[in-house]
Amino acid sequence: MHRKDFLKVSTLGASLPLLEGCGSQEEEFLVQPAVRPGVLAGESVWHPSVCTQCPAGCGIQVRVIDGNAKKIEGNPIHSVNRGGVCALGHSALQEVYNPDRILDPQRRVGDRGDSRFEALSWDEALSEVARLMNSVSSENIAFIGSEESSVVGALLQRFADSLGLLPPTFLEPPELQVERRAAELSLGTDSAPYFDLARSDYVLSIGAPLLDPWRSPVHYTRAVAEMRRGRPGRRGRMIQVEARMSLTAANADEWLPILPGTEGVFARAVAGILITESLVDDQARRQYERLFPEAPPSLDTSAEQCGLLPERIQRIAREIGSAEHRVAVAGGSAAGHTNGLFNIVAGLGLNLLLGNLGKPGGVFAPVSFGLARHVSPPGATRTPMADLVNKIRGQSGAAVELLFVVEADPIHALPAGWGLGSGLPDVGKIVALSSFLDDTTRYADLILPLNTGLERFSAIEPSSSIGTRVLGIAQPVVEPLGSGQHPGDVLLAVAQAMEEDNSAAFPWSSFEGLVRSWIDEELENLPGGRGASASSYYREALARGGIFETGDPSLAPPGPEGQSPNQEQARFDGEEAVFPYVLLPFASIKTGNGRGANRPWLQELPDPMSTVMWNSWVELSPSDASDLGVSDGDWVRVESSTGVLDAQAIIDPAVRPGLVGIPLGHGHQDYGRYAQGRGSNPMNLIGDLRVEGTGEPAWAATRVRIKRIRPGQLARFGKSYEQRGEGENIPVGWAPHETNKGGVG
Amino acid sequence: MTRWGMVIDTDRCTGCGACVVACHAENNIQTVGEEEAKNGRAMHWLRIERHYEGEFPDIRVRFLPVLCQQCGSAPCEPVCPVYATYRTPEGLNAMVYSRCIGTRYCANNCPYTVRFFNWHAGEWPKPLDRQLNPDVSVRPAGVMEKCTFCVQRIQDGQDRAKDENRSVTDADIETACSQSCPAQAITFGDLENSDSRVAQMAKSARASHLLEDLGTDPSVIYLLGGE
Repeated sequence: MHRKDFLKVSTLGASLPLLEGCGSQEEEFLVQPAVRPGVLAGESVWHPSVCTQCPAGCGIQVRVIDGNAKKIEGNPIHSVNRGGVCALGHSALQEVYNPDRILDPQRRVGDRGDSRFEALSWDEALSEVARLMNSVSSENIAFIGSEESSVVGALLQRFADSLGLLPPTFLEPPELQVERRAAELSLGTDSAPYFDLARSDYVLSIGAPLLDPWRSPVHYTRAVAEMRRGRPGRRGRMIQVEARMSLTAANADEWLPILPGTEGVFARAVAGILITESLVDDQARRQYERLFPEAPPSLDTSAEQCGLLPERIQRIAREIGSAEHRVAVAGGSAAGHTNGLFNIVAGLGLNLLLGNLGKPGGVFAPVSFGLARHVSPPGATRTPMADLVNKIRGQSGAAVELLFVVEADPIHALPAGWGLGSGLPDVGKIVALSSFLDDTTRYADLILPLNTGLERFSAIEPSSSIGTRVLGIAQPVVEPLGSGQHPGDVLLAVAQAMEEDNSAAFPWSSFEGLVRSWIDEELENLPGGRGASASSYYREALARGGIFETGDPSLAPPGPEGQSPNQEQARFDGEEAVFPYVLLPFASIKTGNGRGANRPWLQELPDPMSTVMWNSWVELSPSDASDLGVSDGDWVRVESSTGVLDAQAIIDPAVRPGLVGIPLGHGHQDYGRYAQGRGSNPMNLIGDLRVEGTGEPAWAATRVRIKRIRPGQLARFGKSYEQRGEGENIPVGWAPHETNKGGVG
Repeated sequence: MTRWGMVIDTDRCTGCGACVVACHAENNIQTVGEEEAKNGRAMHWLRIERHYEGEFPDIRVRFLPVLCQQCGSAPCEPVCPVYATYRTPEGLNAMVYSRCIGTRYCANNCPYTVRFFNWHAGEWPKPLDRQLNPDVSVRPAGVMEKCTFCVQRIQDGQDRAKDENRSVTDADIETACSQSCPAQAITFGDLENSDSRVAQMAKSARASHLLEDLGTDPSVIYLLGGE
């Protein structure tokens, strides 16, 4: 069949009713999206659901009164989060009830970027999609999705595959592909391994922002708490090796403020000590030598490169070498340098030496029930973002004539140095599937609104495995506010509108139908599924909030698959003489990658480190601030070889001199009244350096210069560094540890 | 007798801020915006204090969640000219919003700086107001507010236990902050009930009160962190 044959206006219109249903008619809804018979007006009902705010896939429950969602709590039996919810998760309520949501399809009427749109019906919008798809050749139609490993990501791949389009591109956290490739080389797993922190005695984290917005913040926060206080009489330690004082570093028992880009050198030095002091057995050593055949450089050389004392590295190596349960984790900004792949491989490779693969407190292979794998076509691929950007810029092949952006904001998230340009001027037409007018959607020619997490059916396999199999499943908990649809249902409706029979590739009537048919097929292999009836199994799964495998993780990663790249030196964008500071962008718990910026709760939440509210900030060390003549709150201009931004400074005694930190997720061009024009986006400073061997952006490798512009004041909940009391660095109040140690009177 | 209390394990707390947002969501706390936040008028019934110890590179951070300590001998109570704040028989330091005339004496006299004044009425642009919790009154401009230990949840738990003809247990009542805490750092319960988790935890050698030397007799107990 041919794509153009089925994309006919009338059939697309006729498929619309399919979007509205949420499943087959014979099953009564367990969870009704509105007040249902038997529920009194004003009565409070808790519905299980799945959090869609980040790919970690926590289980939640939502309190609904009179059809309105009131409060989100964790689902205590969900194995990812065990009842916890993070700040971003709570704020999903301000996503569904956000006053700046897009409720109906929109067509651009002004120039691109004018943000002038007119509403149109779904029929008209889908006709327009069909017309656009018919007017260009398939190889020039591209998709940008948000998460490759998700079920929707798999459906995108299936869609592109069956229609002969470019394989989809995914806008994932910039370090993710580097971390995945490193896990493949060092441990032989094709995605992120699981680190069993809760049962560990010694956690050596090479830059991994375990407690910041990273892979599974709620799960790992709980795990760190359990490591310390979950086993009476046995308290584990966490060591953070990271250039910047992140939230994770702040919570570590010891922080090693390493020079940026030398994380891999540190890990190799630790390996050298473990080997030369015979702290590891021969088998572990042989396995490690498959990854690194050469002996590590001398300790003194390495220590000097890292900016740390050799004795300190030696002590850390001896401590981890003698701990009973120990684990090395690597990720975050260590993966954002030009030698990021080496840094992460060297960090994860320590686990081979420590012999902790598949052991309690060690590293476990990622596992899943395989729903996404079931949906994705055989040999599914993706188009790397770098390749798509090249195509958009006309550097390889024909230009992109039609771009679909599905729940992603590449203009906000990609480095300015990639040259996408404001408003994607080189792209023919842009169709955005989005709930908000974010920085990409505002340039769209056509907007297809999506319903938000609480309004949709969800099936979520955590993108970051927790060592046991999990599939979160949830029906909608509230009625949709507008006519928005689930992205999976939009794709299915288009596929099913084909004139020729396409039921082999898309046999499902809805996204929920897809999940149900998979459960029917897999029932025998699912926990408690043997002998059960598929419909009652499904109803019980909905009532629980998903399907969970019980027990401890057990599957060990297979071990190294190749040799580590040899990239000890990190390169930086910009001459040190002109740009003396190294910029480290980071994800704050306030805004994460930017998604949280349109929620007043998160804007007014003081950042736990800086205590700043409602704005971005530039972290400077006291000595650099003094050299620059900068006081707390002053406006500074930060300039790289790629771009420039103005923001307000805070003086932070935990910043390593020579470094500056700027949070991501601020500086939106639009994204509603709470986010628009608020703060600055550090990605505007990032150039075109890549992580060697991956093509991913080296987002932690930019040098900048700074100058003071004018005085200013930031909204901060705590006192500033300059307001601190005599002889103490504390932001607010008092230090209880000093005034009142031990025992309640 | 009942005395509601809370134990916060600072060795579990990572300062993630989930409790702060949970508190806003549960208690209809208004957001004031950037300009008023600059004026020190942001309202956080529960805040995370970040304390630095030492100097770079040997600098350490400790986080401390601070909320109304529900003092047994509360400095805020005797200074209120209209008895808008008083101690309940169950040990809560309660606020009667309809009595408050906004003298702000209580906030001045609170050593923990956990009382917040409504300089303006809150705004919830539609449809944000659909999220408001019907169990908690939205405060008008001109009155003082602060942490209530989620008194609406206490009442709900007591009502349910009464309906089932039994006494209240730990499982009946949880505050919003404690329920959402990813690290399970916050535990709520009856300090006078020797079977409760808080009563057990209060016996820990790590237990401490904030500014205990002021003699305020707080109902919040901190378990000191670190190694």
